[in-house]
Amino acid sequence: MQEIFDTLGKADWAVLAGIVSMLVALVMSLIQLLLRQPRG
Amino acid sequence: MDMQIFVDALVWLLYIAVFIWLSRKGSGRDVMTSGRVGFAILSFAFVATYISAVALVGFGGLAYKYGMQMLLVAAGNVWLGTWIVYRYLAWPTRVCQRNLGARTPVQLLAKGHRSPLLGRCLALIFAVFLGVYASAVIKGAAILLNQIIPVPVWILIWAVAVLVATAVFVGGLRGVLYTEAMQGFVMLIGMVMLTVAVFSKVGGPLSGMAQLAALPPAGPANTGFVSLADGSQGWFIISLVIVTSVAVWAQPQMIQRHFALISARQVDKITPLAMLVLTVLVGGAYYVACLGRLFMPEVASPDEVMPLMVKMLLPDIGLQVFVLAIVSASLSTASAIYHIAVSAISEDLRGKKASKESWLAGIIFCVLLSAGCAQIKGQLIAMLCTTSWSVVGSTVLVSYVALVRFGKRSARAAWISSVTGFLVCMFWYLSADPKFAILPCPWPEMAKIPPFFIGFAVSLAGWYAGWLLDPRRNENSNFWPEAQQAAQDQQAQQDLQVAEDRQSA
Repeated sequence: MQEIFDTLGKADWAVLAGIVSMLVALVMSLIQLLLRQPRG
Repeated sequence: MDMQIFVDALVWLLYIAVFIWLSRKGSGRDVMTSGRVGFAILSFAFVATYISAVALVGFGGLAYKYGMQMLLVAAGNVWLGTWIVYRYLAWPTRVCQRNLGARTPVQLLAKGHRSPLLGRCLALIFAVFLGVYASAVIKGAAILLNQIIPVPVWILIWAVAVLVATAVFVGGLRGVLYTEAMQGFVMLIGMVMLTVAVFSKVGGPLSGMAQLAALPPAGPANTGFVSLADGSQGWFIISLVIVTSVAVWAQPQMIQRHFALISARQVDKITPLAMLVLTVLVGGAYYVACLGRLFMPEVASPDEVMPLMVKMLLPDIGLQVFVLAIVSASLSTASAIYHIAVSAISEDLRGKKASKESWLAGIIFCVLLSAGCAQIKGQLIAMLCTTSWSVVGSTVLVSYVALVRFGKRSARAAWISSVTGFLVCMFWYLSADPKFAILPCPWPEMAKIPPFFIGFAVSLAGWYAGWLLDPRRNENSNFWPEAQQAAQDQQAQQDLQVAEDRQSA
C-alpha cells in the first residue's frame, strides 16, 4: 500500500485526476454491470 | 512459416466472413432505421464510432511524447464524452427524434428548429467535411494494411472504401451498428493483449509509473512524464480534452447512435458498458504508450510508436489481431461517417426520402470523394480532415443541445448560432492556426486559443442574440421538457383510466 502511495505521490494533480477518474469509471461501471437487476 | 501464413490468412478470412455476415443483418430494411438492437451492440458501436485509429495510434504516439498527462484526455472521453452524453443527451435526443419524425441528425435539427433550409446547409457541410474526413480514416487503414499485405497503398485505399461502402449499402444503419460492435470487440481484445504484454515487460503498472517518474523532462513533457506540462504544451492537452470530449456531443455520427435506443432503461445498461470498454481502450492505449518510453528507442514520428511497440512485444498472431483492431477502428468510424454523408446526400439535400437508387448514388459519390481525396496530398484536404470535428462541433453543438436538452426551438437562433460558429471557427483556422494560416490574425495574442473554443463561444453568443431577436421565442420554448411532461401526464391518465375501468368491470 505504501508503494502505491509513494508512486502516486510522484504525479501531479492532473495525472492523479486522470488516473483516479479512470479507476472510478472502471470500478463504477463494473459494479453497475455486475449488480444489474435482471428483468422482472 | 507456412503454418503461420495459414493461421494469419484464417484470422483475416474469419474477420471478413463475420463482417459480411453482420452487415447483412440490416439487409432488406430501411437503411435509415435500425430496429431493435441490444444494449451490448449499442455500447460497442458507440465506442467503435467514437474511437478511430487516430485516437489509438495517433494519440498513443502523443502519449509517448507527452507522458501520463494524456490520461486526462482518456478521462475526458470517458466522463465528458460518454457519461454526460448518456446521462443528459442520449434519451432526450431519441425522444425528440421520435416526436419530430426525424430520420437523420440533419432532419432532427431542421425539423426541431423548423428550418428546412438550415437542414440543407447542414447536410452540405456534413457531406463535404465528413466525406473528406473519411478519406483520412480510410487512408490510415490502407497504410496499416500495407504493412502486412504486399499491395500498393492506392489499391488498398479503393479496396477499403469499397468494403465500407458495401457494408453501408447492404446493411444500412442496422448493419453498420452490428459491424461496428464486432469491430469494437476486436479493438478491445487487441488492446487488452497489448496492455498485458507491456505491463509484464515493465513489471506492472505501478513499477512502470515509478520508472517513468524518474525520467528527466524531455520535449513536450517539459515538467516530466507524470505531470501536466507548462505553457502551451499543457494548454494543448487541455484543448485536446475539450475537443475530443465535448465537440463529440454534436458529431452527427454520434447523434445517430442515440436514434437506435429502445428505452430510458436501456440507456442505464449502455452507459456502464460503454464506459468500461472506453476506459480499457483509451486508458490502456495511453498508459502503455507512455510506458513504451521505458523500453523503446526514440522514435521519429509519434505515429510509429504503437506499431513498433506491437512488433516488439506481441507474437505474430498478436500482431495480426492488433492490426485487425486498428483496421477495425478505422472501418467502424468510416462506416459511421459514410452513413451520415450518404444520408445527407441522398435524403437531406434532396428533401425527400432516400430511394434505393439515390442511396446507391450517394454511396458512389462518397467512395469517389473519400478514396479520391485519400490519393491526393493537398493542403485543403489536410485542413478539412484536421478541422472536421471542431468545425462541425462549433456549427451544431449549441443548437443541438438547446433543442434536445432545453427544448428551445428557434430558426433564427439556430441560424445565427450555426453560421457564426461555422464561419468564426473556419476563420480562426485560416488566420491563427500555424499549419493553415493564410489570413492575417486580427488578435495575435489570442492565436493560441483553439478554434473550437472560439467557434463555440461565438456560436453560443449567436444563439442568445438570435433567441432575443426571435419574436416567437416564448411560444417556441415549450417543446421539451414540458411537451414530454405533458405526454407523460396524458399517458399516466390513460393508464389510470384503464385501471379504473378494469376495476369497475
